Amino acid sequence: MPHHFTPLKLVAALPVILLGLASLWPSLLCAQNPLTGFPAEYLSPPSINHWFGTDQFGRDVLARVVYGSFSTLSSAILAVGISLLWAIPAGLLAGLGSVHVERAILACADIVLSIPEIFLSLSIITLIGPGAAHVALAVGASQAAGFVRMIHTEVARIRASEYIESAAGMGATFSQIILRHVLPNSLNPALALASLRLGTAILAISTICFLGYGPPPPSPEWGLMITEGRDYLSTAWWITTFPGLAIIFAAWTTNLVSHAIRRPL
Amino acid sequence: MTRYLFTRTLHAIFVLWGAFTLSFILLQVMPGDAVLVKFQDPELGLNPQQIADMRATYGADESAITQYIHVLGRTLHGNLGYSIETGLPVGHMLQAAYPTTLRLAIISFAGAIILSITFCTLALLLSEHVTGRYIASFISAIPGITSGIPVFWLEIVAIQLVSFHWKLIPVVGLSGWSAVFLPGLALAIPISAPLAQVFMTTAKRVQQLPFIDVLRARGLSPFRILCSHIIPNAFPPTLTVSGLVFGEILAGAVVTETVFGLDGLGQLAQQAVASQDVAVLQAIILISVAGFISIGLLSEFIQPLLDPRIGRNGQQRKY
Amino acid sequence: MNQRCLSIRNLDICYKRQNTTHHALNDVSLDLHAGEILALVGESGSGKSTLGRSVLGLLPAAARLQSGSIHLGTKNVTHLPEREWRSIRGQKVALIPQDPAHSLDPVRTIGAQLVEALHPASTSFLLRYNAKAEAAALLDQMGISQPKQRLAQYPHELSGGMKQRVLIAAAIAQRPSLIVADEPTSALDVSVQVQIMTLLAKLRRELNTAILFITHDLALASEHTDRVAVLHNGKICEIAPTKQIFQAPQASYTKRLISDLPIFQKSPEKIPSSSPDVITVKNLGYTYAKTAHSDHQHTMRNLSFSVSKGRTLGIVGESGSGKTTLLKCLLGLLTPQTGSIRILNQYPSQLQGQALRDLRRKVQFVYQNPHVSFDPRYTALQSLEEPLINRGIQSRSQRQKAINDVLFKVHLDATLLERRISALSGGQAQRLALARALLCQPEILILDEVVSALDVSIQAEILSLLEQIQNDLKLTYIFVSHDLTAIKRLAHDVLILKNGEQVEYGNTNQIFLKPKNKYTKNLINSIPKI
Repeated sequence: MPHHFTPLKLVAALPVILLGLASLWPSLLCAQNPLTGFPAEYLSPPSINHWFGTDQFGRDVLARVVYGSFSTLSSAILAVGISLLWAIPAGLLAGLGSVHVERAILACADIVLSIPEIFLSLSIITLIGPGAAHVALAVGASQAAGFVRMIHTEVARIRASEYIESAAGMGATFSQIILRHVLPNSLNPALALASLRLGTAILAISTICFLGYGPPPPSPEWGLMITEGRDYLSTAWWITTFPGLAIIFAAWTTNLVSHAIRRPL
Repeated sequence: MTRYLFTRTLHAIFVLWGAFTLSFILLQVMPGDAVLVKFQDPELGLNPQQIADMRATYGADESAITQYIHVLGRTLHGNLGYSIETGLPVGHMLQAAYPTTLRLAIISFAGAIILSITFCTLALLLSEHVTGRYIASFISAIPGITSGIPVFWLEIVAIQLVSFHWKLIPVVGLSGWSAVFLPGLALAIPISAPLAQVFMTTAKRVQQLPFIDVLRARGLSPFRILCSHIIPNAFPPTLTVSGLVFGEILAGAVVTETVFGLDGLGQLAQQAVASQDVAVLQAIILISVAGFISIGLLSEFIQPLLDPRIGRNGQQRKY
Repeated sequence: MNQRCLSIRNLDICYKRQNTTHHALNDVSLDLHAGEILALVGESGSGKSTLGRSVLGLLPAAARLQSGSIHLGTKNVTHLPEREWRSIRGQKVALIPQDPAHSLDPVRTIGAQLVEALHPASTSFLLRYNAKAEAAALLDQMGISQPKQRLAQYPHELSGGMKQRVLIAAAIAQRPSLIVADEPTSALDVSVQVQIMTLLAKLRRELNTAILFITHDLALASEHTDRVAVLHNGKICEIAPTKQIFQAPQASYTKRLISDLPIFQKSPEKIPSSSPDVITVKNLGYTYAKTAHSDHQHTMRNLSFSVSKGRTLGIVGESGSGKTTLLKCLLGLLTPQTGSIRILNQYPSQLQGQALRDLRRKVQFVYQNPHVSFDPRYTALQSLEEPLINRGIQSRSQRQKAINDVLFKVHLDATLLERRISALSGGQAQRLALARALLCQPEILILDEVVSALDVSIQAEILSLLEQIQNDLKLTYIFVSHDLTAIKRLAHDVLILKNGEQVEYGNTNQIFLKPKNKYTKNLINSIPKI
């Protein structure tokens, strides 16, 4: 079915466009530098010059929020990429392999899943130390097991469907069935899942950064900005409020993308 | 039935053992020598002999497999080892910390259930109405947003508004249940989101089933259909996410206890990570895995009571 | 004549979707009197369900009642607000739904649901407690044994026919003057169908209730009904006493519907039975191991039959008769535990790899629901090309030619090739499935309930198409159906299964004339006589 672009769909796509622009081309959205501040203008409330106000060093909060989106989004994408790297082969193997392979992989996934994600990623952090890339690695590794389960479910569902049976009935080989039917049909749900997981990854990453295991200051990281702004909350609410809203916005946007991917077919 | 119980319990023990092994590998084998790393810090000014003594005390000079057997053995006897940071028995530290976390979990879980059910009931009732449908679709979009609220941010804002600005609940000088009231409520908001989403999706699917039409044709009111048919049907599938909710509560506890300065398991875990106190961290992981597994088992055993179609053999129903 | 229960005058209902308007009902008028059964017959899309729902005030949100009026008794209910409808539904008009399996709340007991049907507005505990006896009496009236014990049971513990009886009990709970029965038997086994129809006829006599009996099956309307209304494209094209409809139909559409009934169509052409056997099954048996997942033990015992080239074997069996197991064995998806299957002089259970794939290609399977047997991402053309690519035909023009040939054979328009399967109608999709099977160059077609989901007129077309293809290509068919008339139309031989055992096997005409087994007799008696 052809997709028609309507004004409503454009409005729905706006958050995605905004988030994409912020992380890929931040200088387009704000002119200020996120790292150098104007000490004279420290803790000034939102104004025409500084839409989101300035922080304790006089840095523009809007610039920090906009530049922070790259840090958060790239870490989240890296995390999901790492999960997928593990999960796709394991999930496919579980869905397509013999009963024993399936059982072994699912048992391993069960074990990893039983450890709450936050503890798993914090343990990995104790192992490899803090830092932006390390946080992404820790979050990605701890999310992989959930992915394995979901990919397995999806592949097993497709494999049990009648059109697979009828393809086998037409004399197609096992590998032909996988390449022609199973993989293309599981691609869409997997993508939808990945973008949904992007949202959870964003939350998990900002939580770990809030706890202080992310990139060191003065990096413009949303979780870190909230930690730093805490002490000034009573006098300068904007330093913590806007990064928080940015996290909600980013998580919600990935939700929208996931819904949009799942809908067709 | 007994066989089913047996296999489920066996599986639970297997998962517990697996998680123990995984955390052992992750925390004690792979980092090499945690004790060495810690006490080699020149600031402590320990000489090599003292370090060697320390290592012997913590059993770090043995091979990984001997250590593993030793740690597994003492854990089976209920001895969780000693904290490297404080030198106290880990069991005592956990005993002191768990009541706060338990209270926090109970308040936030109860709050999340109440929130999500009120929310969904409201949305479903409004969707029956001609003009209410728009409000209902607006309401059902809210969990998608609240699920993205970072707990720590929400709590910082809550302290600022509720405690400092409106002066409703003080932050300091509270103990027991009153200390966890505000944190629990704040934590309940993001936790209610996945519950509400699953509940709403199932309820909407139940609403489409033929038997709802048949009930309408018998002259039942929408409220009656909702309360005595849709909710009982949508509730059991919602239970299946209870494990996920448990994980979210624990993740929330780590952050919440840090933000509010509560002495609970979350705070303990966060300090253990900061000071690389592996024995404490491993014990906390073990306890949370046990909690996760028992909640999963519990929800599996409750489901057949709520949905007669699910036999005790774990058969899934099909919609 | 009796008093009037329902009168519909010049009813116009249309559906508005985005910018298009679709007229579901156009100037429909009919009357129904107390104690009368009126059959409303129509194919899918004729508007019969819309009519049934409008009488219950349960039209979907997209439907608009344009003009006309509906009276229940003397009350005008045409534009009644929802709140007032609630006191009418159940009390004056009730519904017997189509699919008993999904029409009872699965998590409430039968008793609780019946009590609710008896007193829909009451919340008083005492009243509901006392209503248990009433509920049990209702079940007793439906001919359900041990009614008191049944009240504590859950829907999934009852059989399909039993569930439908409970639903009928709930419908008559408040003694409504009109019952809308929307295809009440279409989801049930043939032998149960008759019991439910007899029950409805009995209730009509005892309670003097009027019944609006909605069905797609004209043959079913020939018994137990007083009058028949034939609905076509939202218009009533004929309404007359039942006898008159079948003996002297006036409208051309009615005539065509009657002539399309399989019972009025010729039997398959005679094929000399001297041709070689292509399928030989000897003492076939299969027992599913008792697993933790099911308490039922499905078994299939001692099946022996053979099919010779160019003939059709009809297989009849109700749910649980073991026919699915048999088909799986024939396809090589299950390995028989006892006995043997020989297909085209080969034993599928002994084959592997390329040899098995070659055999599978020669034995093609056509599913009941064509929409799920195609990859949802593929267009019709891609789906048809797949078997050709499997056969190693590389040249595009050759493939195109083969596809054009087969489309001509199944009477399918080439303009549909660009569509996905979800955009095809049931009849078109089933033709496409047939085309795809033929492109594998099969020798045997296994047809599993291929016409059950289709309208009568399309059923007739597909059946004659199947016969024509068989004659042209000398194919052998295994035709599974619960519809005995379709079996009689197509099958040379018939095999009747019950509880995993073969109760009768032989020439179709002989079995239909002189059934030996009691079960077969029952089955054949349950075919509506016209």
